[in-house]
Amino acid sequence: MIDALNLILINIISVLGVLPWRLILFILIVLFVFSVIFKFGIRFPLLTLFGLKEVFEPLAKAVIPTKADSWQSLIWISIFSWITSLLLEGYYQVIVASIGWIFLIPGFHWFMHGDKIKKVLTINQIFIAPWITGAVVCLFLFASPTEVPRIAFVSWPIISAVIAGLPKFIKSGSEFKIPAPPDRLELSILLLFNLLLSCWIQFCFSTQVWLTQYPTLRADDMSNSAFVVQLNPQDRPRSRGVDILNEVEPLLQSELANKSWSQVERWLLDFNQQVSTLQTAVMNQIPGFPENSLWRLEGRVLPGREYAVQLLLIWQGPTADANGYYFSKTCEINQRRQVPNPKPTQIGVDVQCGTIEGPISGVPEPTQ
Amino acid sequence: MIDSILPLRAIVFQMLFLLVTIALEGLVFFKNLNLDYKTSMRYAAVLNLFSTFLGWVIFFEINLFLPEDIQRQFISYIFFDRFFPNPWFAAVTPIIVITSLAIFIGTFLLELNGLELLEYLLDKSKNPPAPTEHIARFQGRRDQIIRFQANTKAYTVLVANAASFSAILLLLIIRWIEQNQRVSG
Repeated sequence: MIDALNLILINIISVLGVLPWRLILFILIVLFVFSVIFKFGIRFPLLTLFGLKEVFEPLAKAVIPTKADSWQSLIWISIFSWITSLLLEGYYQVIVASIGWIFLIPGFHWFMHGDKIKKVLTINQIFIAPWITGAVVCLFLFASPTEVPRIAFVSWPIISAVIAGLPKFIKSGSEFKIPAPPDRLELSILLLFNLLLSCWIQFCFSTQVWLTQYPTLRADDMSNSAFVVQLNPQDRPRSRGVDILNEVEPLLQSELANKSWSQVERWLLDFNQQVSTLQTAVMNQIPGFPENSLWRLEGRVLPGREYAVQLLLIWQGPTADANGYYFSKTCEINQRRQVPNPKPTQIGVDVQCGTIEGPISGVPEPTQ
Repeated sequence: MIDSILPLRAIVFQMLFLLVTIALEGLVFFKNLNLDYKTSMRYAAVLNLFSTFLGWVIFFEINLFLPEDIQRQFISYIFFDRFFPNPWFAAVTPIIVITSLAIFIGTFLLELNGLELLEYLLDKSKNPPAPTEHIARFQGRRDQIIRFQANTKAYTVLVANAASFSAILLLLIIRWIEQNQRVSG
């Protein structure tokens, strides 16, 4: 469901980017000119003729300001500045667009205080308009067209609390006043609760940072946690251990490719040492996360076979499994029999690896 | 954009704990601070939100300076509710004990200072002391001491905190029992 939401959001953003803004601007100007002509010339006869008066009259009543000091005028000013900003470029555009925002925010806030809308926006006797306005303010202050940074989310409750508390500081006649003591108590609860909300949002980001540092955790089961929930526990990503172990295979192959069979045997005698060089090599290849040091590669030569090695990748970090877990992969090392080849040094070595087993719970038995 | 792993349980738990705490501490304030019922609940709300917020800020600050290994233990606790074997594994229990004690004392001090701050904010610190203290003078010596104690803010806040922390501990024990049953059953 969340993926679907993401997709919709991404689609909306891409559509907004593709829209021909200049064309829309042209259409708006044409519409504006037409509406002026409509108003002074043919508006009433034509509308009554087509029976459209009933449709347009309430709309016009809602949109056209009746007084100078009304939310409609503020919105119209912001629309005007936005249109003007489209015609400008560079810093001027930014300045004029900001002026548009500065008029839009109080206009929007005012609009939400209309009787009908206020009723809709009041949930459990709490009027949520300040939080909507707060979101708009945060978008204006912090967001860029491509992304909404963290600070916007974290400061959203605080800014909203300030907006919600402002009316208590204003006397009738728009003068500053210090709120009465009972109001101060309410205001401090309001502010502190919203600060707590900010902390929660920040904590969401903290867990996200940890998950980017330790991506292996995503593959684990978090049903025991007292802090986090996995929203789709069935749909966990593959453990990074599988990817790392898959990276080891070509390294092992290239390590043995140019060796003669006796060199291979000598190489296998000191297998523990070889595995630690393999580990450093593979850690240099994979993307560098802080969790990398928690993966340990071990290996052993399986007895009674000429030759089979088992590679074990052990997770030494946080996990839901009390015994820990590891992945294992067995590789066969065989002499490549190329009889017609005249040069004995070029007799190759075949490395064939099986599939990865795991995650296996526990710690692998020590090598004999 | 929206992650599939979110700390929603932490938020729900904190809301539950805050509600329990505010209710209990509000009751203690109602009995000891000469406030009406509504105001004492609001006092408790302000003080607890204040200490919780500062606790979060301290948590975020400390988190920046933690050594990597302790931070990993911490991550393990947050995501899996358990610790994992690493060099700090043996030190986890003493650290938890010391941290809990520090949290208790810290919360007490924060709420005490918060209470004074709040009374200053509400212009109440200039008010004359409650008349019960004068009555106490004519009663027995032991009774006087108790009454004196009962009227100090520090004592009230301490009792309130003890009550709320016990309640939270009880809730945590219930959760622990429930989880152990689920694991074994």
